[in-house]
Amino acid sequence: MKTPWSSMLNPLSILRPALRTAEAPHVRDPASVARQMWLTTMALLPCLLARMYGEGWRMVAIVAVSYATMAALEAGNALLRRRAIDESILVAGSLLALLLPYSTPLWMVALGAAVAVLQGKILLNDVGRNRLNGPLVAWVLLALLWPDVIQAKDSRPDELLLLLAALLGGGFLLAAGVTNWRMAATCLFWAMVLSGLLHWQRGGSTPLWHELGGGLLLGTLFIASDRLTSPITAGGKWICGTIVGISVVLLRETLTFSEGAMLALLLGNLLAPLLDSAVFVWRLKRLPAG
Amino acid sequence: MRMTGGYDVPLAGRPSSRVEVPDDPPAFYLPQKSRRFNFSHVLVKEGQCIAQGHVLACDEDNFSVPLLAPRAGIVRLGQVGGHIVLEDLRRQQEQPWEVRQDQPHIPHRNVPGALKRQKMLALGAWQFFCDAHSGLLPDPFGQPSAVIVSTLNLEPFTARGAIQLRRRLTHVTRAMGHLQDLIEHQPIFLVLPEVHSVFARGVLESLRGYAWINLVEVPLRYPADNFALLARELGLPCKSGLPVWGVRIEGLLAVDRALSDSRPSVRRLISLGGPGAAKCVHLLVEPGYPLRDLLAGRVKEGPRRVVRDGVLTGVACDESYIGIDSECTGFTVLPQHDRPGGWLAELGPGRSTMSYGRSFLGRLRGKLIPQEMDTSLHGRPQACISCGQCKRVCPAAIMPYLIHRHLRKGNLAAAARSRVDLCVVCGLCSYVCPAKIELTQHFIAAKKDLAAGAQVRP
Repeated sequence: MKTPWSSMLNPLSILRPALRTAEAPHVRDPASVARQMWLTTMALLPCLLARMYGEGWRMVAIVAVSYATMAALEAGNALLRRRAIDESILVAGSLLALLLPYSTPLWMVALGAAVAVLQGKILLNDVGRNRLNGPLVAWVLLALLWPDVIQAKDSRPDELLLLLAALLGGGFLLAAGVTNWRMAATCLFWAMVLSGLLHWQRGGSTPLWHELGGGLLLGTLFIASDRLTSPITAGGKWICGTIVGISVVLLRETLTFSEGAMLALLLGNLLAPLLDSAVFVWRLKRLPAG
Repeated sequence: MRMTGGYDVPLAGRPSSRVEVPDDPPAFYLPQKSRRFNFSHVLVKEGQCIAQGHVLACDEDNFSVPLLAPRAGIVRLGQVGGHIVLEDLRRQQEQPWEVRQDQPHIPHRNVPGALKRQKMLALGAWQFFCDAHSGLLPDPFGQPSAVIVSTLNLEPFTARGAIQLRRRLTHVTRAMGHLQDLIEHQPIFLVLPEVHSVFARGVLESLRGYAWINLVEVPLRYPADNFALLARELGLPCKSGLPVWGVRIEGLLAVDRALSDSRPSVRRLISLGGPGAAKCVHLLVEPGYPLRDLLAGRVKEGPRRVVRDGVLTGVACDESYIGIDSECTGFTVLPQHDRPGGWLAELGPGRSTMSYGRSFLGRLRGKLIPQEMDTSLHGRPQACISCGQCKRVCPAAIMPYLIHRHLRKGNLAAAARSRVDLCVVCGLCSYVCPAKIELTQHFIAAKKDLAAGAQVRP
């Protein structure tokens, strides 16, 4: 008998029977969205472990609160809408915890998690319909409301460890083929070129600081590479990556807002549909006439 | 010819090149409906004794294409709904075709090879032709803008052309000669996987002298054998008003049989394969052969789904499918397990799992290893995650995700602008989609709606 619980509990049960195809094609590729979400979660794991190692129990608490809030909201959503719990909260939970600094109060983490999951999927009914990355929106909102807390510069003794973990996770995503490498690579390239030019002209922060400092590396590897919210066309990805890469450096150099990377990524999210539309028009013109 | 996209589904159970002839069944059950035809106009009576090759019924909407009796026997009507049953079967040599007095007047006498065309239509050879763009039966007395002859059948699993070609090369070359008599100066494109192979050279040698025949090399990757795709790549647009005839090797053999021997085509080479088949072979059978008898001893035990034609575009056979229809190209048997598809399936490394993307370790092996696939969806239907795999795999170079976006909003006009009409319904976008969206089915419906709209509009 189908109860409100059955749809929600089914995906949690390890022995859930697989759904069947109804029409042609009668066989399907074994890869699914859930598999890709699990792979992304695995890619985020080294970063989480590195921060837990460096920052101790406080970081564990941040991760736990982030996950608990999202899981509670998602479970409520699954019950109300009588649908399966989505694996995307695994990615969003880890990503939000990674973006927030060590000193963030736990209630703020919960608020951020709620914003992320509401914007990211609940209000739009399904993951994939959102135009903006959930954790990114949550971070920007928290940073605008409490700039002192969110933009506080933690002294991180584990900077190198975190860097290696991020690169390991990014490499894993690239190997697993669930990343949007074009956007991440273009973004890092242009940030490096522009910051190099600025450093050569007037000194100041080095290109390496730009690349590794703040959330740029984490942002490009795990947010810019999010295929849901970045352009879908290759042309759109190259252009969007360029815009984001340049805006990161310009925002950091001109604004008092210390973390320009997240704002630049949000700008990229907002521009993505526009850039895609332009590429669509160009591509459709090249198709044979009917 | 280069092809963008395409993919060979690594399905286990490829039919071997062995050809079996199954034992005679007690009765034949000829379906009155097949994929393209509806043989609703029955021309025989209950209890009538008929010879092999006798016209049982015809499809009045499709140039009166006949349904021929596969054997001599006694007709039973109304025994099984939608089927003409043949009992008390006898192996009797079919009567050679001749222009009979009761035959209708042959129209279009001035069309090249009018008598030959009439003969092909009457002896069941014309049914093997299709319009490359629409897939429908072309007018037997019309002129094409070109003819495409494909030696390939790449969908898993349909009867392979190479098996028929190797056995009857002389018949095929003779049929090419007949084909030239039917047309005026239009080109014939012979599609081969390798134009420089020993085999292709052999074909070329035997075809020497046929001036209008062009060899076309295509990659051995599904769906390079698709007629719509071939017509597009060869620069044969559908807006010219003339159809592009598409025919495969079995069609050429039927043409040769009709025009060289004046005999009807009542046998078909079909394939039997898939992970659920115990014997993966090719079978030489007549339409109407009971499916149950055909599968007996040739499939594995357990719940299964029998798919008529390939797994990517075929239709599942239900209880109402009793006898093999006249257009069948093969059967693929898939197991229907109740295996867990939950988190255990998502978390394994997949050392031997083959996937289009790189989500499983098996993809690192380089070449595709056949998989024991079943009817599992491998996930649940979700919203599009913009992974772009459908675009990458699409052989028609359209953007399935964009068309899907428009169709989800119900915007048929925008879907038409995004060129849903170019879709060749190969089924690959639905196959690779990780969000398990039924893209192909949506596109088929949209194309149908657009065609209906175009008909209504003056």
